[in-house]
Amino acid sequence: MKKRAEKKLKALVVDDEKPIRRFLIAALSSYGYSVSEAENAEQGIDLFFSLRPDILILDLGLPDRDGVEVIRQVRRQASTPIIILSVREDETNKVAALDAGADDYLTKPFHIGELRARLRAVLRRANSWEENEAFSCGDLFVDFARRLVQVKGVPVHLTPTEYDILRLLVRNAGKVVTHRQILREVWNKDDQFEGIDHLLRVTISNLRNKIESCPERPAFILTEPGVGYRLRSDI
Amino acid sequence: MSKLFTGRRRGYVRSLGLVALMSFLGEFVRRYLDPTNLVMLYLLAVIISANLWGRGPSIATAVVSVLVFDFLFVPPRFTFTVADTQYILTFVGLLIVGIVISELASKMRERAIEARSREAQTTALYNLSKDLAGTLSLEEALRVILFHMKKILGCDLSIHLQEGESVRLWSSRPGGPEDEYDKMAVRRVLFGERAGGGKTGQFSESNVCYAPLRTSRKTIGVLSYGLPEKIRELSPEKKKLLDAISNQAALAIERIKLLEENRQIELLHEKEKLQTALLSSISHDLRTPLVSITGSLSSLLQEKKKLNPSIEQELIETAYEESVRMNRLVGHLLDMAQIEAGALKVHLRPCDIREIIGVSLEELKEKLKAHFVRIEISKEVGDVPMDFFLMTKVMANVIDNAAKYSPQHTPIDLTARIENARLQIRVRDQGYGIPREDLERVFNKFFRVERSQNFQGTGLGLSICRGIVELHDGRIWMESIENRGTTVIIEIPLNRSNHLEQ
Repeated sequence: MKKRAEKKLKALVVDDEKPIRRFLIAALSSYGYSVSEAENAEQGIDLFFSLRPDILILDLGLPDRDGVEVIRQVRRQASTPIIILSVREDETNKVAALDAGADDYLTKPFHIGELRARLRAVLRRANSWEENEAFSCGDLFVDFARRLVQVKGVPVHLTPTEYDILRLLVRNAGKVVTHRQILREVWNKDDQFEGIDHLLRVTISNLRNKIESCPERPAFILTEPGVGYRLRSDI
Repeated sequence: MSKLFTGRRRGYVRSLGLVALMSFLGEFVRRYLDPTNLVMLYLLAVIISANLWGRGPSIATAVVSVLVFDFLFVPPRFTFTVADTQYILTFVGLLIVGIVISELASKMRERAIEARSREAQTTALYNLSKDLAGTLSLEEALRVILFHMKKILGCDLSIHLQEGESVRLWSSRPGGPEDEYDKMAVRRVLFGERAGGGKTGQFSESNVCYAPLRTSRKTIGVLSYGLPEKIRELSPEKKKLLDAISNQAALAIERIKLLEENRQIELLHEKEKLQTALLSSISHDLRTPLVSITGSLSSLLQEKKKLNPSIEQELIETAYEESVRMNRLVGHLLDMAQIEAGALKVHLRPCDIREIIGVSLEELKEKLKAHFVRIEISKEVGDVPMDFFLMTKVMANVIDNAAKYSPQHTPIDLTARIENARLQIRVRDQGYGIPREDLERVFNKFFRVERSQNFQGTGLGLSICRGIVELHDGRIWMESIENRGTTVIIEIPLNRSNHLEQ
């Protein structure tokens, strides 16, 4: 990662629990962010539009309004990266938030290392992805300019669909990519998931067979249960 | 009524025939006997008639015999005139003896009939009590009672049982209607405790009779039966039998009700005991990590300057690990509570077990570092309808156990294949194993196998697994050889056409 020491990044934390805000602020400050906090949706939205932070960390269970509402309101005017915090494994809520425009999520309680990894992935994306940049992670190497995929230096042949999915995952490396996102970007389908859903799983399985050394225990393409997939970028 | 009459008339006709037969015989033996002795033949006719056809025909036989004897055999023959007055005495004698014999014989006959009906009653009662003795549920008992009563009464009947404020109806006639009038009558009998309907006049508009079902304590319900048009009233024997049977029925119903009450109370007791045990176990398990967390963090807060870095690190690690443990316990408790409350929703979607295993292994990455995981999934295993999320929990739990209860550097084998239209997943470790008697108990809540080493766990993992697998209509069980290893087997049906997404 490039170092961005020139200017302090601004983060906004919206959560109704004071202790959670407290440790988030402590952690983010230690990463070099200047942090602001809000304890409800109303306050959060006000602060967001007055401060224009570089990243928004938003709890989904706010007392005054649904977190998904906040995401929609923010997305109408800004593409600022949003990381949501949700309690337990509430997939439907997570998916709703991601579909509304959130970039990634963390399930409480989480390891602060996870927060750091999410921040990194989300901000890299925000700082724009150069289309023809090469990507490498562990044994996996992808050169988009030459449409070349290599595992341990050996070229791997991918079908166009497999390649498209891999490219989408690489472009979002470290960040969750929802089923809907893949269906939309690879198959150009927005609503009809029936059948294609199955096709997606089969394609992912084939892709894993080609690039993973142990497809049953994937090292690159991780499954996010009920949500989508995530390409690991930190091996 | 007319049938009854023809039956009796037949007795009279036959009696007359018998007298004619005796007269015919008399005509043969007349030559050798004194006319007075012919009386014996007529007495024989009276006895036969009394035995076969009862009082009326036999008295008629006696009277006719006197007349016929006079007409045929007493000189002058073929007139009713009597020459010798001594024959008057013979007539009177024949008549009196005839009547007395009729009385005696018919009484005997009545007694025999009575004995037969008593025997029938006893048999009916015996059959009922025999059938009732085996019943354990109210529905069953009522079915038995209705069946027997219908057989005895020869008509349809209903039982109305008081249940709190309402009255519940069981009828021997399928879908027997209960109109407003009926309800009122039942209520009046139920709370007035008197038999009604039929000839008692209480509800004389109908031919339906109402009789209370009484036990020593109270009236528990009402028996109602609709007599056929022609019969206005039951015979005294039937009435007695009905009384006896309704008493028995009432007792049986009460017995079952008490039995059910007892069962409820017992269940409640069990539940309370379990809850108390659960609560103490939970509070202990929750407090233990909290003690370590509070202890470690307060030391760090207060003694920071005096602590050397390695101890400081250790305290921080303890606090972190214990909080992770507590998080797991809380998660397990929530899962368990949801399963027990029936609130856990299963979203079945076609899932690839490879992916489920992959996610589980990723989750357990740290814990599996010291183990060698071998995976073998047979080619024929395709998509199976499962709840991805919940099945991941199951797999993670089972694999975690395999790692926890086996020595480092031993392999863990995961296999999946299709067996009898079921996906069969086996997780095999080469660990310490589980005693045979505990193989089933490990699936109980808070059950922990006694071991010399202290393993951390919530004692809930496997019961949650079983809960989830059963929500998939599947099975989970264990096989184990002590000190050789344990295999957990999970089976999930491939097709569940009758079990759509809940």
